[in-house]
Amino acid sequence: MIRLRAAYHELAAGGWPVMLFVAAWTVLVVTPLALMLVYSLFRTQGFATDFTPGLETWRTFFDSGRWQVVVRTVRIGLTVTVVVMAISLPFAIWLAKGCRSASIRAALVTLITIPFFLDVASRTIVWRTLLGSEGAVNTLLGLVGIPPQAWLLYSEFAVHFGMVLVYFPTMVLPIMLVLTLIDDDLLEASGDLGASRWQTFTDVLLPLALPGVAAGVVFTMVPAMADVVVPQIMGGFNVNMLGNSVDAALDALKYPMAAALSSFVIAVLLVLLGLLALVLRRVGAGAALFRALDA
Amino acid sequence: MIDRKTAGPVIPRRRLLQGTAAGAAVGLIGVKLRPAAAQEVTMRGYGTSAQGLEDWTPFVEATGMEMRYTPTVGDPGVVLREIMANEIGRDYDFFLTEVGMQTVLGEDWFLPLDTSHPALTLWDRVPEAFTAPLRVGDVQYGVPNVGGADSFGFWPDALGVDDPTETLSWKLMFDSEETLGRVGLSTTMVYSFPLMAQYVHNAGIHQIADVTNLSAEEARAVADFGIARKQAGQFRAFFVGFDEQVQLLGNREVDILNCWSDAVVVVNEQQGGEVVHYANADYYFKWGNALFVPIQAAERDNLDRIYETLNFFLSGAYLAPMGRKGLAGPNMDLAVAYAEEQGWPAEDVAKIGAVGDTVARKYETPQFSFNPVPPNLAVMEEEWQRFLNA
Repeated sequence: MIRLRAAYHELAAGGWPVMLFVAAWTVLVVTPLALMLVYSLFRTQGFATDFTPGLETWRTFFDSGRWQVVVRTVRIGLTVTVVVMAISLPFAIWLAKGCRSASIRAALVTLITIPFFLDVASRTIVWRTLLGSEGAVNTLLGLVGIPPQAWLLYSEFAVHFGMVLVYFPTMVLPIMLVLTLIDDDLLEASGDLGASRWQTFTDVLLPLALPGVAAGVVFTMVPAMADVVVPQIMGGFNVNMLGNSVDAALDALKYPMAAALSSFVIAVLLVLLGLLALVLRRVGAGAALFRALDA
Repeated sequence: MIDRKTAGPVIPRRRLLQGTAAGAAVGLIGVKLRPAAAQEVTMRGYGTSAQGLEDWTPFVEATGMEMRYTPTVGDPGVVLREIMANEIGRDYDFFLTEVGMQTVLGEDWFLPLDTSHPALTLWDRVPEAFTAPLRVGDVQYGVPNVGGADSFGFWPDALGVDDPTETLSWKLMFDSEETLGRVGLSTTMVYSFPLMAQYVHNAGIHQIADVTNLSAEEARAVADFGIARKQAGQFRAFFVGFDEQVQLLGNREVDILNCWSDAVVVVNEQQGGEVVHYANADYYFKWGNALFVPIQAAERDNLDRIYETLNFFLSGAYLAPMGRKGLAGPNMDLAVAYAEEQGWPAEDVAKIGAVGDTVARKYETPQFSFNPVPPNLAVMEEEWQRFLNA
């Protein structure tokens, strides 16, 4: 209660723009989410929604294994985010701080940006012909005596692979942009004061880059979890994910089930964000996350 | 005070009143006449992608109208959603979708068909086999355009099938070591689940009363069977649309899949394949498509033009291109005549004629009729999801 009151006073201190934003956010975002949760308490009878409240939709949600779809979606979303982060962070650091040629940097940023001009399906479908049973990769493997590898396509591996390619730019760009804002003098001062390169990375560069990392995580994990195209094209529905399941529920006019699926995902995301907040608080990077931009 | 130099000629009050009355009368007549004068000259259709024409010139020539056809996937659920939830009947003059839709949508969303409408000149020659499935009680809904009986498409060399007259079992799709990991299955529940249920019934795994409308217990048994086969690695991929059928077969990503006959035609003609859409399976999946008029069309004034359009879909100009794609409709004799009149190659004409014969042969085999909207849809869909999620 005391915390809520403190939060209210902090918001009120921001003046009317903050209060207006909070009010608009509550009406436009929070209220529809709450309504969605309420809708999940109804059920589908034939082709119509029965507005008698109950838990039948939620019982069906667990019985039909739809909850497994949510768990699988979160798992794949997290794995893809970690893999993309592992590739993107070193690359972004090199691009922002290591690459001394402005023209090479401009060329690389352009190359990273180009995929945004193509739709995901067009970018992804080409991999079917490359990774298929009789595709280029399996043909090359055959030349060196390795039999065709079925797991290259229509598998979880394929879905991960497709998503890593799709979401690499959305992770790299925000991290790189924040890194370019960091004054090189800070890094030199760290070295002058006797810090090793690793210490400079962990104690100076990384904390200052956290806003970009956080943005990259949001821009990667959230769309990855909502992705319908890559799981369909690369997974061939062997890897059923949330978007496909919601689509199927909507096609059967099961709006309460679609609401239950979405509500469950939001609950899982809230838990994950809570865990993230706890971790950040433990490493002392909670509120300091965005203050880094002031540096 | 009026400045007479700028105000123009003075109109006597009586003449002004007369003029106003005459103008109002003309205006009223204009208002009354306007809807008839502004009848739609563009027909707006929403329907299955494979059954739209690639080139609508024959329609334009036959009716003088343009066609704006919005293709959609064949999934009946999508069509249900669009018609019921999004009320797209406000924007379209006809729907081209599965026979059977009228059982759910007939009363509230489709207009009953006036079979005596003067523009529907070809109605009397449509066989009862095509019109009967479109009735709800005594009310006729929809004009049938194509129908058939589907089985599976496969590469004969991969399965070692030399004799096309040999009867093949759906075991090849669902329960065979020979095709393990080489099967493609449609994700559309109302297509694939009954096919799987029929196999489960035929193989004595579980007795099923109506494979198109499974009870909760039957649906669970069929899903359990499917999950066991899925976990054994029977299925290579699941697909949604027509293009994926072509891609999976054409790239030899699968050896066999439950597909439409026209997908096999495309693979063979465009990609040089030798795929077979089998005409001697142990059972088939009988289906039909039809054009339905949205209920909202009653509020518009283009109903006569809509009936002209419905009539076009019964003509040879529409059915001939369908026949060339491997689809049969109610008036295939008109299709053959049209193809001959247009000077199409002899092999195309022969193919159009043969399509009807093939469908007739399939109809002699035990089969079930496709039901796009079974009463137990909700239960079946949940079990189908359990199968897909496993």
